[in-house]
Amino acid sequence: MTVRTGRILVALGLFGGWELSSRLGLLDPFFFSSPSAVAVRAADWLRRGTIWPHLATTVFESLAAFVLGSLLGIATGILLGRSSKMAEILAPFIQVANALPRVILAPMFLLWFGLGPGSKIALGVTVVFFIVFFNTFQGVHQVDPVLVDNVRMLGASEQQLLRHVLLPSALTWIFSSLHISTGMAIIAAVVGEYLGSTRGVGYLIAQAEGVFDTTGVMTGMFYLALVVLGVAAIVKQCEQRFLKWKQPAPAPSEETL
Amino acid sequence: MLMHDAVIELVGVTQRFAAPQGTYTALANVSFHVGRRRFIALVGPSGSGKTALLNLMAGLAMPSEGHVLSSGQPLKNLNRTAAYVFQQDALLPWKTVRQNVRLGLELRGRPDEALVSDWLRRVGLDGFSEYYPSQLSGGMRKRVALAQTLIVEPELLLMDEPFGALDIHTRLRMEAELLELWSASRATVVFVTHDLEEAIALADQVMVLSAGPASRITGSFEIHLDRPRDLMELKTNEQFLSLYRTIWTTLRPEVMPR
Repeated sequence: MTVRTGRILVALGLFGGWELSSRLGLLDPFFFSSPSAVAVRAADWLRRGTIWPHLATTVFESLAAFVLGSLLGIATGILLGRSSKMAEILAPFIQVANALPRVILAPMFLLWFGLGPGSKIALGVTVVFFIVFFNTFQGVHQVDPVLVDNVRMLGASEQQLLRHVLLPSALTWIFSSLHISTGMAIIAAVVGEYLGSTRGVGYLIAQAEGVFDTTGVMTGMFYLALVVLGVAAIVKQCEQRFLKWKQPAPAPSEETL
Repeated sequence: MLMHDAVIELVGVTQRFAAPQGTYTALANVSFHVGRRRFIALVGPSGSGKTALLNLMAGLAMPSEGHVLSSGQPLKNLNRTAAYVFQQDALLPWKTVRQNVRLGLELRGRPDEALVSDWLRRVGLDGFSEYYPSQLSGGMRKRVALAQTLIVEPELLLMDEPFGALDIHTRLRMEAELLELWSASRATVVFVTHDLEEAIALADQVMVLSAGPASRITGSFEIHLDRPRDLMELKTNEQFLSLYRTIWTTLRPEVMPR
C-alpha cells in the first residue's frame, strides 16, 4: 500500500463514517453537521464569491505577522546570539514575555489597534517572534567554532562572518521551525478575528457560531485547512530550495504540523 | 636573537588556560623559528599542546607569556599571512565545492573564477564543483580544504592533523598531493601530527613535543631526504628507517611514560 492510497483510505474512513453516522441519526446533524452539508456550503460560498475577502484578509494578516515577527526575531536573535552579556541581561524578561498566554493579549491589541488587521498582525507577531528568535539565537550560538575560525582565517570581517556563517547557520534552525511559525501565524490571525473583527475566516466562524450554524463553522474550518495545506506545500518548497545542501539526508516531513 | 628571515618565530611562549581546578599550563617556555619555505612537522602525543601552538601562530590565541613574531613583527591579532587547515571539517556545508574554494578570494574582494577553476582542477575536483561537502568523501573534502586555503597564496600554511581521519591509502595519496602542491607554491608549512612516519616522510625538520601539561620541545631533527620524495617507496628506505629509530627514542618516553 502506498502512502497516497493509505491517506485516501483514512480520509474515506473519517469522512465516510461521519457522513454515515449523521445520515443514520447516530450524530445529530444540528450539532455535528455532515461532510455533504459542508461541501454544499463550501461550494455555495465559492459560487457567490463571499469567501474571497475573508480568505484574503486571513492570509494577509498571517503573512504580515509571519514576515514582521520573523524579521524582528532574526534581528534580535543575531544581536543576542553575538553578545552573551546582553543575552544574560535580557533572559528573564524574554522568558516572562514568552510565558504570557497570548490569547490574553488579544483583547488588549483590539483596544490598541482596533478591529482591523492591525490587532491580528500584532497578536501573530508576538507568537512568531519568539519561535524565530529562539531558533535564530540557537543557530548563532551553536555555530561550529571551527567554521568561524576557518572563515576568519580566510580573511572575513565581522560583517562577512555574519553573512557567510552565522546567518546560514541560523537559517537551518529557522527553517526547522518554519512549519510551526507559519501555522502559529495563521492560528493567531484566526483567533484574533474570532475575538473581534469585521472580516476574515475567524469572523465567519464566529458569526456562524453565533446562530448555532455548525455547518458554517465546519465550512470555515474547511477553508482554513486548505490555507494550511497550501502554506505547508510552499514551506516544503522553500526548504528544498534553501536547504539543498542538507540532502541526501531526508527532509523532515510536513505531516508533523 | 630575532631571526628576521623567519616566517614565524616563538620566543619564550607559555600558554595557560582556565581550567576547572585553577589554571592548566599547556605550553611552557617554547621557542623556535621557522625559516622561509621550510616544511616543519610537530609531533607529540595527545594533549601535548600541538593545536595550541598552531592557534598561537594563527593569531587565534594570544600567549600568556612570551611573543609570537610573524616575519619579525609581534603578532597582535589574526595572522593575515597564514592559512589554516583544521583537523575537523571546516568547509561551509551550505556552500558548494566551487563556492567554498572561492571564499577566500571573495572575502578579499578579488574574485577570480579562472583561478578557482584552476585550483579545482589541481586538486582533481573539477567534476564536482557543484557538489555540497556532505555529498563528498572524506578525502575529497580534504582536497577542497587544501584548495580553499592554498588559493589565497598564504606565506604560512598551518595544518592540524589534516589527514588524521582518512583511511591509510587515501591518506598516502593526500600526502603525496600535498607535497606536490607545496613544491609548486613553496609556502612555509607547519604540519602537526601524532604520526612520526608521516612527519618524517613530509618534512624538512621534525620537532618533538613533550606530553602535557607544560609541554616543551624536547628534540629537533633535520630530515635530509632528497626531494621530490616517492612516498610509496620511502618508508622502506634505510635512511628513513634510521631517522625513524633516532627520533622514536626521543618521542617514545613521551608517548609511553616510565
